[in-house]
Parts: sequence; C-alpha cells; structure tokens
Amino acid sequence: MGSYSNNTAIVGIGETLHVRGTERTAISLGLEASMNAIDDAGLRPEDIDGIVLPLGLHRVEEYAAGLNPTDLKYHASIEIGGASTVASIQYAASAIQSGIAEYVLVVNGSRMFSDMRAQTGDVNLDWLAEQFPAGMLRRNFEMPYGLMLMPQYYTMIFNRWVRDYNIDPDSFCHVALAASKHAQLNDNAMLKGKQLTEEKYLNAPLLHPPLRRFDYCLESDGGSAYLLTSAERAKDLKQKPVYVMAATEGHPDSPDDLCARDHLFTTGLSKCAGRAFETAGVKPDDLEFAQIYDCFTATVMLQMELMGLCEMGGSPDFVKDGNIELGGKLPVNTHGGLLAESYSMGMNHVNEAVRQLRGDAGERQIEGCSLGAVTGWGDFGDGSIAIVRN
Amino acid sequence: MTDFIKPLPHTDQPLTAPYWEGTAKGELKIKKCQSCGSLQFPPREMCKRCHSQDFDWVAASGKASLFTYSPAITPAHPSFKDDAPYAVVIVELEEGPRMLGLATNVAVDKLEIGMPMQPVYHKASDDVTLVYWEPAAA
Repeated sequence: MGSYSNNTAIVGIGETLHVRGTERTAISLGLEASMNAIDDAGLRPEDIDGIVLPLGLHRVEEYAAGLNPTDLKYHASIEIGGASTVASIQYAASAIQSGIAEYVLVVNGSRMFSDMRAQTGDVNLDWLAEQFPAGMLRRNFEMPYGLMLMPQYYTMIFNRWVRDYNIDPDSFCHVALAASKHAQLNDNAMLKGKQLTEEKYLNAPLLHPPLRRFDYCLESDGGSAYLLTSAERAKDLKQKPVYVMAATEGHPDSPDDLCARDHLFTTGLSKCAGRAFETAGVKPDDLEFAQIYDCFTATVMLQMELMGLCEMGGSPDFVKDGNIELGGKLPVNTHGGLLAESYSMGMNHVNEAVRQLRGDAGERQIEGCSLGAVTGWGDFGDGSIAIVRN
Repeated sequence: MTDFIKPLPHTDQPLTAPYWEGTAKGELKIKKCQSCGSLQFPPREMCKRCHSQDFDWVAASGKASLFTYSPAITPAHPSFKDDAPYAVVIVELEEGPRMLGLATNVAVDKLEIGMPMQPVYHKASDDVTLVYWEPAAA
C-alpha cells in the first residue's frame, strides 16, 4: 500500500480563462489560478508551505515571489511532460503525509499557443529541442529529418498500434464526439458552441495519418492550480474533500527516446496503473468516470488498453455506442478535455475530477458519483494515474 | 518573406561525432559495448544491458525493415515546405538497433510496416551527410 493512501485530499482548485493568444506572461496566469485555488480552499497565500510545478518552464521561486508564503518548506519541478500534472499529486501527497509540508500548491501557467508552435517558424529550434528529454537527440537526429511536433512522435506509436492490433482509425471519432458533447455543458470550454458532428469529423483532412483534424487537442494559454492537504486538515476547510486513494507514475524503458525502446507498448501507464489500483483497493471496472489525458483521441484509446479498462486492441469496442459519454458505461473527459475545453497541460483533468466528486459539475454532473481516475501521458510515454474518491 | 533553413545536426559533439564521420563516408556507425557486445542506437553514455561505459564504433550493414512511420501532410516547420507530404520513419537494422530518418523515393501512402529499407546518404552541406531511407528489394 502507498503510505499516503486516503491520508491526503485535494481541497482547492482554480483556473483562469483559457485563450488562444494573450499579452500576459505564463507566471501571471499561473498566479491568478493559484489565488483562485487558495481562495476556493478558504486559505490564504501565506499558508502555502509547498509548491510543485508540473513541467518546469519556470522556477518555484518565481511563484513564491508573488504568493509570498511565510515559510516555504518544500518545492519540486516535475519533468515528465503531460504526465507531470497528475504525477504532481504523488509529490504533493507524499510531502504532506511525511510531515514535510501541510498545504501544497500544484500550479501551471503556460503559453503553449503563444510560445511553442514550431510550424509557424517563429520558434528557436535549439530552444524547442531542450523542452524535450535528451534535447541533443531531438536536435541532431530528429529535427534534421522534419520531426519536431508532438503529433509526429505519437503517430509513430499509433501507426504501429493500428497495425499490430488491427485498430480502425475511424473509431477515434467516438472520443472526439464525446469530448465535444461534454464541452457544450461547460462554460469554460473553448469549443462550447462549436459542436462536432460525425460527418464533420470524417470529412476533415488527415494531417498526420492516421490522425485527422479533430483528433488533436487544443492549443491554449492559461493557468490552472490545485491544492492538497492532509485528510485531517481537509475536514476544517471550505470544500468537500476529494481524497487521494492512490497516485503513481511510471516510465517506459529508454524513456527519452522511441528508437531505443525494446517494447513500444510497455509504457509508463502500463506499469503504474496496476500499482495504483492495488493501492486504492479498487478495480478498473469500479470507476464511475475517467479523465484520460487526451492530447489526441487515439491517446485516450491506447491508455484505456494500457490501464486495463479493456484488452489491448479492445478500445474501439469500448468507446462506441456512447459508452464514454455522460450517461454511458464510463463517462470520459466530462469537461471536454484537452480536445474541447483547453490544453492546460492536463491540470484541467484533475480539476474536473474534483468538481465531479464535490457534486459541483453543474449540467454535466454524474449523479452521486464517488470514485474516479485521472491519467497523464508525457514526453515519449511517461505515465501517471490518480484514483480519487469523495 | 523569410527564407527558412532546415536545421542541420551539430556534428562536433563528442557523443555523436563518430556517427557523422561515418555518414560522410557512406557508413552507418553504431556503438558496440566492449563488455557485453550489445549494439545500440542512438549513441549513449552507458550500456543499458551491462552498464559498461566502454564502447567501440562498428559499421552496420544498412539492411533494415520499416518498424513504424509518421507521415506529415503539412510540414512541421516552414523549412520542410517543399518536402511535404513527407514521412519520418523508424527502421530496424538487421543487427537489431532502430534508427530514425526521412523516407525518400517512396510515396507516403506506400509505406508498409515490415517492408525492406536501405539507407540513402544525402550530403546536406560540406560538413553534414544525413541518412534518408528508401524501399529496398526484398
């Protein structure tokens, strides 16, 4: 059993508006989200004594300068790309459980839309390479061959998966449609008011085959934060606590490079999901919702297989017939996810899990839900998962 | 309008310089662990099988098959505008290690996992020879 199982809780969440293009700095967005999360918990910024930054584009000191905590006892920068946001729960929870810190803030502010789009030609490629693990390999062995965007890396995995497990790429449509449907119920979703149809999905151009236009997540600028404390302290705060039953991370072999890897489908999530379910004492079938990292539609389906929701190759069946929509067998990405709410590094998946378990999800509330999971996928196959309850 | 220039590799870095010296001579150099004999690519500081840090460089035959591929219908960067649609491929060498490069002399939609591939040495500048991959006879 993980020693922090059920001993910590998420007690505050905060976000900014999610936009395409902003004059504001990433830190400014992150600070606004931090204040929203601290206020949501009924705390004051000086109470924060731990700060965790998923994806270390910035330094903890820069956040501390504004929040001005009385005694910052713990900091960490988690460097596994999109898996960092959910993995951060593990770092925050273990710091709290061990007594190092009492109130740990996890915050991300980013300008992914404004600063990181290689295809415009405006980005310095030496700098971009260093945003990945083993930047030297990216810069010297990949960029000279025209490989520099995330969809290109994922497509390397998807094309092998499609072939080895006889996956029909048209099935990705179900993930895109569910996300779009859910986003229509979310005022902070960037694609609210722009509902996707099956016809529109199937007629959209292939950009990185097998991926079509609507298989991609949004690019956005914004800030998101959440705040953890001990289960004991959580009882006295403003919100209904959301308890962390388990939070784990995992890594593929040769995590910094796809070529050097022995097994393409032994990923971080396939290693850490079992540990998390065992620690939590629940089975994948018990989940009432899942917020699954959706940088692409296909990423969601592959993760369903890797985390044991279905067999390898079984996800096309799992996602059809509205099974992953609200009211279906397992609602997935009830806020619209990265595909239809905002990119937010996946922070928004954690915040949506919290809203659902508080009963604060409004029109998209899963009535009476008490157990869910959140996953992250980062870099070249790092994975993370948290299992949470109310 | 800005002219975008394709990013060329830095060929003078200690870990990888022998590889680029090889490509300039039409050779595919990979690292071989002096202790356990395992072959690896990309070049590493440590053998992941036996943890030795002592390596030789040996030439691979160039016989390979397509392990997976990533087609780009639109270019990842404006400097690849004239190449699009193009595909980046990972090939598996007959010796075991896998390598990544640009597919050449083949339409993007004709790539098929498992097909035999062979290297094409592309002199990109006075100092740099890149390795592209084309279909080979079975």
